[in-house]
Amino acid sequence: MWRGDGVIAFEAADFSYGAHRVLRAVTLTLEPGSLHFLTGRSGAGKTTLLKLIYLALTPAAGSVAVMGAETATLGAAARAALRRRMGLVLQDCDLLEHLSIRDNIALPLRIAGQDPRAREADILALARWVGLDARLEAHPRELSSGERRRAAVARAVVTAPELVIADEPTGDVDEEAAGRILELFLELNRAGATVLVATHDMSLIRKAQGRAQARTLRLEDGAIIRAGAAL
Amino acid sequence: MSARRPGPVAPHAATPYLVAVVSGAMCFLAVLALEAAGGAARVSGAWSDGMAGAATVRIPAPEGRSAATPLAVAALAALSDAPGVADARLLAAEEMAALAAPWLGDALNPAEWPAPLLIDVTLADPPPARDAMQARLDAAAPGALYDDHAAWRAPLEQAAAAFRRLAFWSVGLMGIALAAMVTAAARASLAGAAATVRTLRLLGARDGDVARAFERPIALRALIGGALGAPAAALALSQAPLGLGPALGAPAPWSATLALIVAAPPASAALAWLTARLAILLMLRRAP
Repeated sequence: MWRGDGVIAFEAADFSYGAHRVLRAVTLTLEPGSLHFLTGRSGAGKTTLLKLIYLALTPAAGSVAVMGAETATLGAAARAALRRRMGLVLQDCDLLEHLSIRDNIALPLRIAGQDPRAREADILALARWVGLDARLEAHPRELSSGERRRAAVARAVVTAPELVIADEPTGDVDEEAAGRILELFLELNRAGATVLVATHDMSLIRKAQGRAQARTLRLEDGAIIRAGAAL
Repeated sequence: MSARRPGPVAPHAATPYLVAVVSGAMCFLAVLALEAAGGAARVSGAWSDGMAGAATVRIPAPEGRSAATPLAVAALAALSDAPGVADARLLAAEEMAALAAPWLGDALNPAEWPAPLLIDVTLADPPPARDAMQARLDAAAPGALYDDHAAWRAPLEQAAAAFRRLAFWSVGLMGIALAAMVTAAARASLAGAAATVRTLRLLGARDGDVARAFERPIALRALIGGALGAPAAALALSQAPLGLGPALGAPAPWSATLALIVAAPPASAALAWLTARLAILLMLRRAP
């Protein structure tokens, strides 16, 4: 049962892949409008935790609530509605190969029932910000991995979502582009969005902490650790 | 930027061309079956109508061959003022001979053998009740037998009804075959675009939106296939030397054939659309 006011609320949530227990009784609340970085060694369960939030997985035990809805009990329509309120940057980007970068960025608008032509200026501004304005007609296969990641970031924020979930958003990008991606997240956060970024990039976290009220969560042995203490 | 944005599902994944081939074949066969059923109905209808408008009265074989036997005269008199009878006429010896000729040849003279006399009765609308007519004849000309051809019409009508049932069963089976093909095509398309579907759902696409991306191309292919198959069947029928001849009934009215050609492709597309949608929604419901 979800009980808190958080945008994300884990209550003793467990998750295992077969015999491998990845998350152990994770209890966690992210307040609305907060900015969090999720760290931990590779394989610590960061992506799994994010998947529980964006409803790709459901907990084996305990509960996960996102924006007030307990994820395990949601039907297909409610899951889709909840996802439309999120912006996702997935680790493998998941751009649609047959669409141009412009259409990939506009895809969440189309899914939300908006006319992308009415948001052309926003799409162009976003593409310019992430350095892809000259590649809008290109297809994902023509882009470098860094460019693909920047396109995925632009796609994630084009609808100005209430919740941004990003899994290694600066993984393949140079320092300048990483700074611009961070700036996008900070701007959305200042506008009220809750942002959760899983990353290994400590310089990104330091930059964010210098600019905003950013908190760091660390996953160790399947449990969340913050400031050296289990939450 | 292109004027028309591409759909969220790659065309190669959502374009099961086989559906067009199967839809074309099914529409071809459906039009053939329905045209055949229509033809059978028209033939039996023409025969049945021909018999329904007439009746025959048999007078037991007379001693001589005089047409004016007292029994025949009495039967004619009874028929002349009977309700539901437009005309009654005793067949002449020559007409009797002509009727018997196909079976007995021209060499025999009907006047030389004891054949019953026949009265050809033209019925009005509504025709008289069989039992009432027989009772009337029994009273006026005992032994005269009234035959309204019902015994002949019944098998014809049953045969026509059987043809119609067979045609509708055939069309139903073709529909089932098309639906099965579409289901397989939809499942293959969905499996081939699994990564795209996963991305769309993660971005918040409703299952109905995802299904729409697949069902439209499938329905379009079914429509195109049907639009080729249905007229091809009509063309094949018009060219086929069936040798039935106009005596078996009027040829199919063009309006009926045209209605079939026009209706078959959209019906095929609608079936394909509905089947694809249900198959995809069912698969999506089972997917995480």
